[in-house]
Amino acid sequence: MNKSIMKKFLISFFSVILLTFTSCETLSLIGDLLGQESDPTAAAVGNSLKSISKASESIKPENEYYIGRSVAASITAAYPLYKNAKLTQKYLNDICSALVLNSDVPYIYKGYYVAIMDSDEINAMSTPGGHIFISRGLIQSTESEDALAAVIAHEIAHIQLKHSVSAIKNSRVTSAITSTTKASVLIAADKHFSENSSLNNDLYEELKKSANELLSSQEEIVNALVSSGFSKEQEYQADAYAIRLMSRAGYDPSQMLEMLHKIEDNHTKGGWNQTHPKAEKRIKEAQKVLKTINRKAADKNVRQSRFEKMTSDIM
Amino acid sequence: MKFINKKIIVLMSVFLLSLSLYAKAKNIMYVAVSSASLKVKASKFAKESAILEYGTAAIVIDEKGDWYFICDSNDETKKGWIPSSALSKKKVLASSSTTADAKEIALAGKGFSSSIESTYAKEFNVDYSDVDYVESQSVSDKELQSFIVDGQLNSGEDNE
Repeated sequence: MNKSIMKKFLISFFSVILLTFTSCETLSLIGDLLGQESDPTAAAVGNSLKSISKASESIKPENEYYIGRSVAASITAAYPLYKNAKLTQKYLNDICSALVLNSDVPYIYKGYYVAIMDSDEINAMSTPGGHIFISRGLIQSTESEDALAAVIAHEIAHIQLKHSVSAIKNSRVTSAITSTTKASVLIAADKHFSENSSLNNDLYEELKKSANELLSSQEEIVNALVSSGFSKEQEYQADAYAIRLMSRAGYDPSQMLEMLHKIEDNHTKGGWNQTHPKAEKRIKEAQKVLKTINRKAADKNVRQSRFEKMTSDIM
Repeated sequence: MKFINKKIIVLMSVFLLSLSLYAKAKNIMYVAVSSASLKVKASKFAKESAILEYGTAAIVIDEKGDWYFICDSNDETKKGWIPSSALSKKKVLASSSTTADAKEIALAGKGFSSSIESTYAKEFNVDYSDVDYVESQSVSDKELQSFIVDGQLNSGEDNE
């Protein structure tokens, strides 16, 4: 083979392999090595490599959790919590714990929690931080523990399928993180060359501007997640995931159909009805998934007496 | 070979470095939950052997279904079984270690964290007290085990 062609081939081949292996982890590792340099500019470049790899990879568990807290704060501002049903609240958390134990993601940063919204609406919401909110109205419409499990399993599905996170990744937050990286590199370089002088005001202002952009992004994310909800496709995915999860946990997955029929019967505005696709379509999709379930669930009546006892303070 | 010039040698060296870094990284995972309870057996209800904090680098020693047997890379006496979902292959950095001098740079560069939340709460007048109330709920392993048995539910181990 011609030497020039061989040379070009080898360069191209190793470049492709290098790009393949220069994953976010490698960038981050190289960033760590540079970050240990005593030269502040090299250290800042190292930190910038880490930040760039951070901006391009999935959001960290701790970050998801804090975003989730902000979303939860917006939800509780719109729907005050119903704190008068301690038995029911404990019961919901027991059901949630039993479900997640049988799921693919039993552990997230701070865990999963369920609380009751003081609203007559048929409504349930969740945050990427593991917070699940169910309305008083929705709980009062259920007739069994398995029906409650269907609602909770659906919200767990949104969390474990990271439906909120996919929306966040497309938002301004990643550009905000990248812009602050550039600012921090400039500031470190300035400090390096003027050790005894105070930080250049222009650079300081640039950093503050980037930090404020990050804060505004958080507000944008919270508003988007609370007001627009999930796509139809995400709702079908969550129903399917919840049906399989209920089955794994030992609940009767056909109770998902019961809850979807209830949504169809309750054509009220807001909540599950406002942002969800038509219940009729969801029922059809859910029936397809149910046909694939082979596992036999324990009779839901074995849990009926505890359902009646544990929800007595809300029914 | 004459056509192997400096460019190719540099590329090959970096390629080999990437490979070794990749291989080195392969057995290390990071704790991705705020506090990880390691168990003496691969079971949610087994006795606790150690606790590892968020971001701790751990060496994976063994696997059993969805459980990994790990030890703290800095303290091999801290070891035990943990569900794989509590670990991340990607490095997670705990956001607590910031110096006063680097505070604003760290605030801007680290993404959403407790420091961002404090600033966000002040800037936009957001109340987190009900969120803290929600997170105060807890279900002990003993309660969960009884709940599962009494309700004839599955304990997670049947799904392996």
